[in-house]
Amino acid sequence: MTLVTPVPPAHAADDVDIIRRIGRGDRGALEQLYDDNAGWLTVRLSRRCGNPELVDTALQDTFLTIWKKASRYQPTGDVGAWIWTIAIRRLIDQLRKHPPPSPTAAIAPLADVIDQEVPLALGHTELGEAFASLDPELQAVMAATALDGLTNSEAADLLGIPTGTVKSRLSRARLMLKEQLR
Amino acid sequence: MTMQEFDKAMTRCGEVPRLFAGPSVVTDPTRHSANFAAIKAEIDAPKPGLLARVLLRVGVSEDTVPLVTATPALRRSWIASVGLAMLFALTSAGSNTSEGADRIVVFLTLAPLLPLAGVALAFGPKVDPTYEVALAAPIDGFRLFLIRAMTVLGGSTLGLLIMSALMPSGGLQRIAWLLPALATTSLAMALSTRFDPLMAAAGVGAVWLLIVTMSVSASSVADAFGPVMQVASAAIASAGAIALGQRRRRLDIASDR
Repeated sequence: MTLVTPVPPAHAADDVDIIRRIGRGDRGALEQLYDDNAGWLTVRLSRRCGNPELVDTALQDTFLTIWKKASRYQPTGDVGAWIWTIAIRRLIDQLRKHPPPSPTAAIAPLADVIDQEVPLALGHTELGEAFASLDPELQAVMAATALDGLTNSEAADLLGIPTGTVKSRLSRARLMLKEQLR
Repeated sequence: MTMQEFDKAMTRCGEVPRLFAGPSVVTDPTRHSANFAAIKAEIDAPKPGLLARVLLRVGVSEDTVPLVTATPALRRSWIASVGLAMLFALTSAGSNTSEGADRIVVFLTLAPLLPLAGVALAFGPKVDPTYEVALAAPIDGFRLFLIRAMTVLGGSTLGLLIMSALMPSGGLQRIAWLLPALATTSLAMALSTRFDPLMAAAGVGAVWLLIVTMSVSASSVADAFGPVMQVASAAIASAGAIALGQRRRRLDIASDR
């Protein structure tokens, strides 16, 4: 059985209040934050890691980190953004501990991110077309660094490639995009 | 269109990340509640102490750590009282040459009793609050006994080695307690397969004190803790270890009572 839940609208003030309550040790607030956010977090983490066990562990670690850090939370922008920066780094922690077997050539890394998240950011504009013209491996490093805001070494762990490769692919990608966008 | 616009568009995802999951998210309710149950369990789990964290760091398995840290003899109070007793023994003796010799006799005599007492207190119905739990748990009693005894032996030996190093004089004689300590402990452990651990340790300790008193009064300190005692100690330690290995079944039966 599955439940389809609409993405809750972001009520910035409510969200900050929930984090404050969690910071005071309120379990109910933690559960509420979990109920509101576990769904989209799971969807987005699963697009970046094919192993559901690692995704579940990363999700649990995310809320444990929130439980510990909530009292020191400084509201800057969307609470979801704060949660996501924690979540993706907990996922990378898991990938560092349990590196997946060498990436299979059949499945392009971050294919789901490129298919479903990049178009949301870029739309059917010149930007989207320029991005689509890149090789899949260049799209993957762009998605990991520009979209997810990861450092080169974090992107390397997410994609299962050396940091140097991330750097060189990234500079190639940016060079090609510049050409396209000129 | 420029790269700035591209980067700005891409970072929108970091600003409102939940929108990037898509218009609706599909949640498996079983998985959803199982993950929250795991989060709650982790929040409620007792925090591992300093010792447990150190043990985990050096690669001791998660199953073994609680067995080690639940060892009564490792309790802070026990360690503190033993430390104080040893410091007292070290400092209460005089400081001039002849009294310096007294001091080392006190140290060498008492030192082997520490790991012995520790091992005796590490196991058994009288002293171990987790004794009943351990009996009911599906763990090899012999393995439990060994793990705890080794923990205590390791801890007290380390402490004694540090104290030996801190002693101002005495040379190699300062660690003349090491083999006797292994001998008394190993013998007491072997005897524990047949007798109550406390009784076994008390008996071995008494015999040790008797031997030391007799040999020190008959000769010098250097002779009393000299090669003869060291060789004999090594032999007893080995014999005890072998007997322990052979009698392991017996210990399991004893702990089943």
